[in-house]
Amino acid sequence: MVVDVDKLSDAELRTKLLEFGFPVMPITGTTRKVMAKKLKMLLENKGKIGDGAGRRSMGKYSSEEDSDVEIVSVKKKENRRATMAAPVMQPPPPASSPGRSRKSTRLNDVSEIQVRNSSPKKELKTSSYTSTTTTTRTKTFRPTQDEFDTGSDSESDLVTNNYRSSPTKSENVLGGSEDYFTRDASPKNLSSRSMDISYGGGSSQPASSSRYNSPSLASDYANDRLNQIRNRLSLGVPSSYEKPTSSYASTLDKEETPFLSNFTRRLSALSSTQKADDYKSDIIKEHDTNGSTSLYARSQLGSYRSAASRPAASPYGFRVGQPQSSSTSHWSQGNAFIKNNVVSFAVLAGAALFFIFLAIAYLGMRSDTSVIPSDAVVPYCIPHDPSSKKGVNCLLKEDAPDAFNLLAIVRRELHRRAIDANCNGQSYRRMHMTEEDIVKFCLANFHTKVDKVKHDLTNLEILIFNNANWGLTVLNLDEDRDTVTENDIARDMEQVIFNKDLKNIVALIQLKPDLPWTCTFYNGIKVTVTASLAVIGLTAVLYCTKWLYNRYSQNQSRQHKELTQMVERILEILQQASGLEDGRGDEENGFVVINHVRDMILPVADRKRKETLWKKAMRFINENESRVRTEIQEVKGESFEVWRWIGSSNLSTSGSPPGSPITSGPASWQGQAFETDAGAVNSLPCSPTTCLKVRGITEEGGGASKARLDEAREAVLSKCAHRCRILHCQADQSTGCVYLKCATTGDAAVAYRNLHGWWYAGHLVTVKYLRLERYMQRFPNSPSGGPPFLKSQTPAAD
Amino acid sequence: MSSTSQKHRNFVAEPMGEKPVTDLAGIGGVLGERLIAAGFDKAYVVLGQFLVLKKNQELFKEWMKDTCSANSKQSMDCWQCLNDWCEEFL
Repeated sequence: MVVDVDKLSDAELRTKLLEFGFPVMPITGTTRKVMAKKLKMLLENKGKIGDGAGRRSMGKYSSEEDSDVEIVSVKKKENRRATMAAPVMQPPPPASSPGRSRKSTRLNDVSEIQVRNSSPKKELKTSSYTSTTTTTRTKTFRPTQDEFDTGSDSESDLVTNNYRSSPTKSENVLGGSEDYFTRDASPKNLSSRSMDISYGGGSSQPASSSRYNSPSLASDYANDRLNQIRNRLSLGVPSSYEKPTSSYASTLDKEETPFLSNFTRRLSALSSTQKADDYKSDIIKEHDTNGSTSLYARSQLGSYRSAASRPAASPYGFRVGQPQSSSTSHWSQGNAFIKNNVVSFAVLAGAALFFIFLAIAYLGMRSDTSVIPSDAVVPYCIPHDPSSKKGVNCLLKEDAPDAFNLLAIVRRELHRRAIDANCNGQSYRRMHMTEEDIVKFCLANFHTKVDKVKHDLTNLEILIFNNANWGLTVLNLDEDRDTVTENDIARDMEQVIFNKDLKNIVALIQLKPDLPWTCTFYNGIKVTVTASLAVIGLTAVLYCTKWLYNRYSQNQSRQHKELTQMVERILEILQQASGLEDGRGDEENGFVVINHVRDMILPVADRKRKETLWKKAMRFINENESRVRTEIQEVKGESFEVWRWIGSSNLSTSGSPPGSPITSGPASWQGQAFETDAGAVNSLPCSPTTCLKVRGITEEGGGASKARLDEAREAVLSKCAHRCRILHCQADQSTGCVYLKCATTGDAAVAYRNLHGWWYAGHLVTVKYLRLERYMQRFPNSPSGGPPFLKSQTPAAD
Repeated sequence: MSSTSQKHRNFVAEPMGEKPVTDLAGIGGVLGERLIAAGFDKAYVVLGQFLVLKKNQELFKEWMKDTCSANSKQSMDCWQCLNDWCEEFL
């Protein structure tokens, strides 16, 4: 099957690719490598998965099989012949040899069964079949195809006419198969061919006839096996092995014909023998057809082997004749199922065994705790040894079994107690057993004596000290109590004996009991729940604290705000009072009774509730407000504590400084920021031009409304129009400035001094001199001389 | 191929004429030298190989890998480039 792709010629490469249904392209020097690689890949893939191309070419065969099956079920001899001829007539070359054509019909008999039994097997078989055809094709035996065809035809004629098997006809038949053999015409085979003929003519006939009725199926089968193995082992088959091959071929031909003609009559008698022969000849023919088709042969062998080992009551022939009978089909179906899944079952069984072993091992481990461990260290007393003291560090050999028995009892009880204490919530029950307890327990449950138990107990304690891995501990208790601590653990036997002398209590305990998993689980859950509850509680506490702190700080800030508001209102009231008094010019009465202030601020309903706030405000004013003086005045004949405002009235406590913008109220000139009189630093000694540009009247950047511009212009005029002669005044929207043109430079100087460095509505006004030509550029229509001069409607006072 | 490179657009924009092989998308200096060493010095020679392989993407990529050890993206770019050019001008 392995084809060296690299050594193929271009044309062969093309052909091969075409077989795989691959688009053909020119094989040139540059494309050859790529195509060869592709072909290799296809060849590799084909073995693994049913290749698309293989499937396509198989379509013809499968359809052929179907038709065969139908025809066979009709059981017509003529039809049978037709089917025998049919594969030869089929265009696809693989079925072009007589051996092949016969084989394909036999194959169909078999495959009819297998179609029903297991379709996967059929697919496997057919695919391997295809692979053989492809290789056969590449050997280019096309020229011999015609010869085979005729051979096949003549052969089938012979077979049908002379199925009574006269010797001469049989020779002819053999001739047909001999033709077939010439295809392989290697020098080695040439000699074997002649031998074949002689063999077939002479001895094969009696042999086959004897085998015809031979009941010895087993020997035949063994023979076949042998041949099969030999054929498989050696591709260059020795000629002696070829001989039986041809004889089988002739046998097949003979036996096939009775099967066809006297089908129902001879069915049962023939079936077993015929089956074996068929099977054998099939295999061998397959092998002859192509040396590398052992796969097919093997799969065939497998299926036949199972069939051959069956009782003879269910022959193939019968199945061919009556495809409706289903008992054998069931049988082979079950058989095939088991055979197909043998590996799966084995794996499953292995896994099951493994887990069973694990379970047993685990159970053994568990039960180990309650039996006497074999690896226990038992310090036996050595006679006449001064270091071994009986009852202190060693025990007599005959006492050991009793001590172990006691150990088993005590350990079980201790374990029970430990579980009770740890798991069942019965913490009041103590985990340990004092010697007294043990004695009582043993007397209650077993028929023993007190002395015997005590004796065994002493030995048991020695054993416990020697076997730390038991998990048992000896305790020295100075009094009978339920709880034990680390300090109570006895270190050695001598200490125990010493304590016994002191009338102390000796007890046994299992400190780290092997708890059942449910207990561990519950304990774990308990711990988890406790821990999570603690965490939740802690989180809740923290959250509450934070919330309370937030509340507190919010409250504080709110109170502070209220306090500030209240103080501001008080100051406002005091200012109003002082202002009112000022207006009347009565300095002496410019005070307000404190309680009246409170009554003015707080509504009647709130007075009680806000008393603390009010007191805080009072204290705040007394301590932190220097402009308010607290004094006692007599109002209407009664002494009151009063507040007097002693600060200046035009400075509002909450008001803005002079520089801050005033959004409400009429804009006005608010005073001079710096000196601009003659001789001052900020004033020029003489004015260069008559034109001025006044900045800062409106907001910077321009875009002011028309009303605002008019207002600015009016403000400028009101400031200086009555002091100097102004020819032209215009507010410019784009710059937000007011332009001014005076009659003379002297007038410009006056205007400059009156505007520059003044506050107007919270803005500082600045003035610059402007060259006349610039001014004229901007305002070409401005008058160059006066009168008339511009006047303000409301001249400013300053 | 959501977007194409500038080189791809340049190549596909006009007939290839006597363009060197490095004008193909996906063929840089190194691959270009290897291709020239293999005898594929002009873009039209590569086009010829492309056409001989019947515009089969798989085979062309395989060929690119063999000839100039181009990686998957480079050969894909080159194939796309030639394929688009063919759709436009062939």
